[in-house]
Amino acid sequence: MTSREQESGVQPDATQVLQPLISLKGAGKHYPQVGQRGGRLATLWSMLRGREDYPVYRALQDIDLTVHRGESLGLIGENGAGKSTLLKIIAGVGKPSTGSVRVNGRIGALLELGAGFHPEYTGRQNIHLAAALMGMERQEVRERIESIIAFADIGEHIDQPIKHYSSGMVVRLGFAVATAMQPDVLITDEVLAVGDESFQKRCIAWMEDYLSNGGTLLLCSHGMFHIQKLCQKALWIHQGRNRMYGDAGDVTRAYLVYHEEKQREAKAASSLQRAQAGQYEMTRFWLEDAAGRPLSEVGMGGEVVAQGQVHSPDGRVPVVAIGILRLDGMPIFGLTTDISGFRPNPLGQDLFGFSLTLEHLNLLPGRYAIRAHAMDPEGMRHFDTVECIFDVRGQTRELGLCRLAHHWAPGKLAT
Amino acid sequence: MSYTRELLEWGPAPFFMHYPWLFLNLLTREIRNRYVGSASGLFWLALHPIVLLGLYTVVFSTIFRVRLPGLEAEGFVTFVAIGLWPWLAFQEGVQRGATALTGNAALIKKAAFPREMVVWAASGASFVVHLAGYVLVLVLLHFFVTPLHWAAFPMLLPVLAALVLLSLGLALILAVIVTLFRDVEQALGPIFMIGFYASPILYPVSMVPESLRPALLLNPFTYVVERARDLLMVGHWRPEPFDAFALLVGLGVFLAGWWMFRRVSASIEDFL
Repeated sequence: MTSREQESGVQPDATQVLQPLISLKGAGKHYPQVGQRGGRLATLWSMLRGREDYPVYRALQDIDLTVHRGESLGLIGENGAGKSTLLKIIAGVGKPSTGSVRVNGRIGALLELGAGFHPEYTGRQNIHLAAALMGMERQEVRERIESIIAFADIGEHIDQPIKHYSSGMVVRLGFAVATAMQPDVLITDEVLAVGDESFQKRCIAWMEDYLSNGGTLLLCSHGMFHIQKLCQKALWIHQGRNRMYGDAGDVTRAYLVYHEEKQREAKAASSLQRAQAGQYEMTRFWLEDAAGRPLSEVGMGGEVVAQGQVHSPDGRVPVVAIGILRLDGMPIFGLTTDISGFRPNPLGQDLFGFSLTLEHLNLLPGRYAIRAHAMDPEGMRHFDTVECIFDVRGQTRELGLCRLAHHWAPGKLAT
Repeated sequence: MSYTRELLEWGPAPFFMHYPWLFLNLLTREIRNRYVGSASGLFWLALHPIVLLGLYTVVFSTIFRVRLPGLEAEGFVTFVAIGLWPWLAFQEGVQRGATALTGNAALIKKAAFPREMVVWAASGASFVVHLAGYVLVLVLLHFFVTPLHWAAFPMLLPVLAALVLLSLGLALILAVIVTLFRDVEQALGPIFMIGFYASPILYPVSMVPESLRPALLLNPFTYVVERARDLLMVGHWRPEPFDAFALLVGLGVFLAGWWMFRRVSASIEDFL
């Protein structure tokens, strides 16, 4: 049995503050999957009987989630992962098909700014309807309408039909209405960047004010920066399921790593095509330890040997570029054979080899990538890239990417 | 705030306490959309039924020379008018309500509120507009054509209430069906056209051959129009058991429609 409950008194009391603001238990949403009319008739019949024996598409499954007051949550995931569906069932636009959703407070949803607006009506008339749709009472709307108009900065246009408004004005009006009700939780779906610059500044100022006064934000964004800045927690939804939940920084990092790896796979496929076109090509590239054994992880300060073979279509000696980077793409160190004055040695017909030893690899523990690029003999154009991933193991509380040579000594008084 | 509780619970019991304001907003929006969007909107609104009334009078009373038993020639106008406005309210109310979900898809997909609101607002707008026209026309007929029995007018209210309940219930059922099967919308026009001639609006039940009468009496609108004439033209103002029965039927259809709508409304946006 599904349930959607909302418990809230007229004024917040102690128990209300202790209760989670939003709590989902095994929440899921599935959509009926019906094509032709026979199927639709059967679906209607099943729905009327309260059965669920029709084929469904599971957009969201088994989501357990607790959001406390003042603990903003970011939702991340690829397009179609189910983020919007989750926002919808929390906002009450849709009902969960399974499990339960409890919201212990007032929700302001910015799912689509100005969705309920009618082009023929004036801004003022639209405020009344939009506010009523959000659950505001007549009295409340009357009290707040002037501040809504002021915030939206529509001026004397407020009594004109909104079909004459610019799209920015409509969005401003929508934002002003949604925020006027002082929601306990504000749900937004990629709408932080609306309006012109001055309105964006006011939006951000409002948001910061709202958050510092204990407001809670439910933000769905592809911008990891926004999530990290505004949210304490993050939920990564992957194919309708909870892939990762936790500290916003951890989750966004893991999500970026996932994307980096995905892009790498796509690149690997395209480099294969390039190789077939008869260009400089990195035919083999691998990592070894000092003893020549294949390497995938190394202790901090250890040694890594990067070995590779390059195919040169015209038999001239190619240039090889090597780069070390963190998995999210942050470059750490790079060099080329011509900078170092090394010439790859011939290994056979049009084939050249190289071996690069990195001694005392002082990278801090984590996962890194090392990339080898095949370049033309002039070192101008690069044709092919192969990447190897390796982990650096170790225990340290030092911060950053790598350990720089250092020592501590007693300080002296400034003169 | 307590009203948000119902907003999300979708429960029927406290429903009416917290939504009148939203309903009023949707209703006025509906009326404005339909009639006030253009300056001549109100003109057309009043004109359409009056033109129909004039047409029927000319065709049946003047050309066909239909004489209704116990009625003067000019009484035909009043006779038709008493049935015509409720019929138009009923027909338009059900048809508009039936397409309210598909017509408001954008709103339904983005805002959290009970979906039946848009259906009832669409139906309700038709009733508000046509019943206002009805009262106006009755007053005009009273002074210029045939005097009516105004003492019986209060009894007309439960009759119309039964009609409103029936319409709201049918609108909910059809709204679900139209959402799932879009072409049903096209069939509604012809069906109501047949319904108009199958209802005793242009003729009294007494003129219908005995063999066809049982079929006619199954039509709920037969009761509405016959009872309205009985009240206003004859003055039989005393409540009858059948009035209560009609109200119960109206209530039954309304609740059945609402129950069906609630069953489906959780997934209805997936079909929009």
